[in-house]
Amino acid sequence: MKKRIVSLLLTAVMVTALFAGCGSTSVEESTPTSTAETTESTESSEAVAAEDDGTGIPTSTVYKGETDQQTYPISDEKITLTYWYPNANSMGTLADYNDSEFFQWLEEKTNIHIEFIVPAAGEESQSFNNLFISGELPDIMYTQPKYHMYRDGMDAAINDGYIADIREHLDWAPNYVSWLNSIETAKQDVVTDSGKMYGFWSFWDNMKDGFADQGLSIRKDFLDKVGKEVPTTYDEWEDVLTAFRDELGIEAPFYTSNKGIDHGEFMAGFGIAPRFYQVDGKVKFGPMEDAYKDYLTLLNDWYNKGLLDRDFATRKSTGVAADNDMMLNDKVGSLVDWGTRMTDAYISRGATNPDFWTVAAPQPKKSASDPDPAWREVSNNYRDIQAVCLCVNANSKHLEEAIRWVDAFYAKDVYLNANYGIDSEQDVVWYAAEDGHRIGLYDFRYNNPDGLDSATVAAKYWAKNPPIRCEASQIEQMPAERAVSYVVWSQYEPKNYIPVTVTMTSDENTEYSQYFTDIEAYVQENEVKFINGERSLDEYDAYRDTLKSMGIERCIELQQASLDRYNNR
Amino acid sequence: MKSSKTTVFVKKPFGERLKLDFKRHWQMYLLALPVVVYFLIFNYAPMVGITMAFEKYQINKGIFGSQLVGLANFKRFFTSPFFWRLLRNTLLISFYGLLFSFPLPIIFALCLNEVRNKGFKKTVQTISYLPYFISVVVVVSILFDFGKANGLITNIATAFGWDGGAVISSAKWFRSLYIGSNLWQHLGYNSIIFISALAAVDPTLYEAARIDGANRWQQTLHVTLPGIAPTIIVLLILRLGQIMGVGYEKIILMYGPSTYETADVIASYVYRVGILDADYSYSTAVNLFNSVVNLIVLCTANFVSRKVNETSIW
Repeated sequence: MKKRIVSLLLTAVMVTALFAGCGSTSVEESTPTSTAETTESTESSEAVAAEDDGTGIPTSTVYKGETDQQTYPISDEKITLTYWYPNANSMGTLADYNDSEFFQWLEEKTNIHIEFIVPAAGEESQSFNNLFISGELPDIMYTQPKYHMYRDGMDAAINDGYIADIREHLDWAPNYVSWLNSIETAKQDVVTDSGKMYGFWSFWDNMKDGFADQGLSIRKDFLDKVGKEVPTTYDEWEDVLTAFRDELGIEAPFYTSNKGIDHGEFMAGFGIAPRFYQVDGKVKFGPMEDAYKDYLTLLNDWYNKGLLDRDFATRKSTGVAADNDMMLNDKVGSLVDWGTRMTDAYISRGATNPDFWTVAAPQPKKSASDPDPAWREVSNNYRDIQAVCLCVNANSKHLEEAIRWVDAFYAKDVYLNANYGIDSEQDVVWYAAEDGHRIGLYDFRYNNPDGLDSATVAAKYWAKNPPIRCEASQIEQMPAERAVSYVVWSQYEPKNYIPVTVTMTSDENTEYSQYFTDIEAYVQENEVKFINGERSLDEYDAYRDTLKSMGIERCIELQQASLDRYNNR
Repeated sequence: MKSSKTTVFVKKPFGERLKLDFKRHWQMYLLALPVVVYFLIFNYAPMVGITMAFEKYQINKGIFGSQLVGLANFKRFFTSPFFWRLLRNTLLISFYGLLFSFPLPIIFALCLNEVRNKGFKKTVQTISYLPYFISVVVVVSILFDFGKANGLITNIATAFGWDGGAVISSAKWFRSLYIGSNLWQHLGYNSIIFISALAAVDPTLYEAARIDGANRWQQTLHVTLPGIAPTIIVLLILRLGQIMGVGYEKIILMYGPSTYETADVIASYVYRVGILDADYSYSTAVNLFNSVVNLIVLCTANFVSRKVNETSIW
């Protein structure tokens, strides 16, 4: 009897252990705590006129969201919206974006709690693709269309029922409409080729025509030590880098990226760009051009002389900013960096050298008398558009609240708080200039009284890259000698740049990705080999022939077609 | 008159035998049930997904709604400029791996078997399988550190005449580093099963051999090796079954554009195209090809083994 009981008990334990593996791992969906939010609210505000100007977009008398036309709170009952927010790198030491003062303030104002879904750094594209497979899209998604895109394109995402077409709900988004009417070129950029609206495009509130927020950056303290000026031609660059290597023993006098080539700023002097670009409306592909071979020859030469990072292939950074440990330990002499890092950012992050100081360098030219390159990396600030689009889930249980919540960011009082810190933090996080506009306090960010590093301060007191970004918030807080970097980088016209809002149709996209996935891998592989010498540059023509046989010319045609359609919008 | 009836034993039909067996041994069936269910749910049911390989899969239409395109995905793969390279790399890495990582644990076990000092034997055995417990990510980080431009392995290589720069970003070194680090990590652990097989060899056979005048080497050749032969063969066939599924996680950690030439295998290609680019039907087709080749190799190995050795898995 006893034996029987023991054996039955053991069996029961084993069976229970089997069920330990079962467990639901579902992403928490927006939990509707009320059922009253499904009413189609037509209470749009007064200032939006119902007529449109022929594009189907209503006109607005309000300029750039000056008057907030949303009514608050947005929801009577406290609801939760899920928000896919791929900004893990910007969190600093913050545990959850809800710890940020700004989001807490916004939650009180709108009565909507946001549940942030932050994918791990480096896995944003995968995470984005997985959202569609799992079938449970969050209510709102903060996407960078260049990197996170539904496989068949924007129109397909809307037609297949995943993403809401904002065009049909513009009466819920009066602030956004006011912005569309305030920027001349916006109406062309924010719609897809078929006229739908994929989401809320993000805008810059620019100080003049829009500054470049990234560019070549060189260590000023190193330059001073070797007694040289900021280089402007490729020969001067070689001179400076050689001095860095010989006199200072820098490991990586010039850090390009882990792909070997730079981001575009350095090669522009040859008249080329890293991948697709346009010259007078004709699309070209960088690696297929003769000048690209000259550029690779230069890099190969520099690699052999030790002027580039010998281990570039093992680094993490893909072209803008270098690996942190290398920067902080004085191993990098020059690189492409963000404008916000031209401050005491690295000192606040723990640079070992107290004289750490970087200045902006202009895009180099072959000779001083050459015209300036017609290239500027404007993916993030082109025609006042920031390459971020906030999409709303078409099947969201709180579609209206989600749209209104995003629209709130386009109102002046909200976006000022998002960029500078909330109203109650006046004179702590920001102060008011004579004419009343806000300026961030430099010391608060870079010499924080609580000892937080600059990244955490940014995450804690304001919103990272909000849908309306005030350019002034980046620039005005900096001391004048640091802010000049923006001016240096912005002197170039981005004529050769292909706008980020150019899209392909679903069929084009399928055909294009069929060829281009393999082409991209092949190009990357070979560029690394050409630079580190494993493959001789004499084989460049054979390389181009292989690319042709892989279908690069068809890809160029497809890009040309989408560019033409964009120009005809 | 004697009855000339002889009792003929006719097998009862299968269904009846099953019922009888079930009644007698129902506990065994119950014990096996969870495992069978597990295999049905996680291994057989997902096979339905293979249809994705023959379709132009679109997420919103799902597996059964997407349009069938026949062998288009396979054609795309076979005509891809990378096809031969992927196949070559997969087979080469697997065969080299097999060539080096299979015999060495056996030899190690044989050597250890000869050691008389129990304490020494146990110590060596424990130390040898400690690396197995280090995560593969850590091992790869170590490799990166040793293999970079000024790293340990690069410096040693340069001293011997290598002039190609960082060893970890060189396509020529990839296989050696991959197989070498695998060997270091798995040698001890893989030898455990051989050590236990060696212990199971009947000691009286050794005595008999010694009486017949065999020296140590002859004893090893004629008693030990045949004694563990079934173990070796079974493990070999199992290893062959993994030939095409070469440990891709480690490869993905270790490779980069500069080493795609020798490092890119079918599985890592499927990862890039399938997960990173979300081209699901194409990657399913490639993976299906991978699995089919794997199956053929496995069945052939089993068949050959059965004919030659009478030892086989099925």
